Amino acid sequence: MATVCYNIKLQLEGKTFIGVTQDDLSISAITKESITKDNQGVKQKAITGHDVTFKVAGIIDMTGGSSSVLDNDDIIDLALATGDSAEYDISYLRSDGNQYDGVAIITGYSESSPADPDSDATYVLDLKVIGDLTLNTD
Amino acid sequence: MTEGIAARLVALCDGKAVLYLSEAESDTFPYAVYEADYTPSYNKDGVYRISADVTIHCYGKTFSEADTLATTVKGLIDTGMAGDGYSYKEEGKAKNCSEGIWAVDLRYTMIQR
Repeated sequence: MATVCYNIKLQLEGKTFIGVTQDDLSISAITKESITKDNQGVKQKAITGHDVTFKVAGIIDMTGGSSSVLDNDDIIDLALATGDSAEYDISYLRSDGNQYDGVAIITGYSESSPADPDSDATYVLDLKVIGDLTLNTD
Repeated sequence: MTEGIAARLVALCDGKAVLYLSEAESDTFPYAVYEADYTPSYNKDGVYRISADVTIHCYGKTFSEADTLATTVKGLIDTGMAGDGYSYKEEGKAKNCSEGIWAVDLRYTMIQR
């Protein structure tokens, strides 16, 4: 059985996130209901689009990022951006070599830092794709 | 990476308390042995943390001898274990006597990041 979980990664502006433990992708259909007399009382549903969100969870690492890795200070800076500068190119890299591209905004960032030395300080980043998420065939 | 916690522990005690790996045995009291059970934690880049359940058995021919060694080892850990990516948490202390040999056991969770 091929292990696929560790090398699926989300990139933002061409960089990965520091200390990532989990990437989550969620695709939800946006539906529109309609009914006409021809439907004989049964509502019809049509998919008009999709809500695409990502969640990135990781361990806070104070050793810093690099030219290819966003550290926690970088991520906070990105999360605090506003307007057009808060829209980021993202790539979702899958272990089969495929890559999905899109543009996303950061809808949330949170950190948790317990006192227990046995616990890790962690962060969670939420992103929402604006527009389409498309398979990059280049 | 799992050698880090044990190496730091041995280095802390070097010249101040006799500490062996758990397989060791000695006729010269007091002495201490340690055993550790390691659990790695992973992020997508690999292992980012090792957590070890560490028990240090301090042996002596009298309770006082074993307890004094345990106090010494505890003091060394308290002053030198934390820092440089290492942290620890005390989990408990136990004492027992078997065949005339006293043992004071110190239990810790030790973490290397």
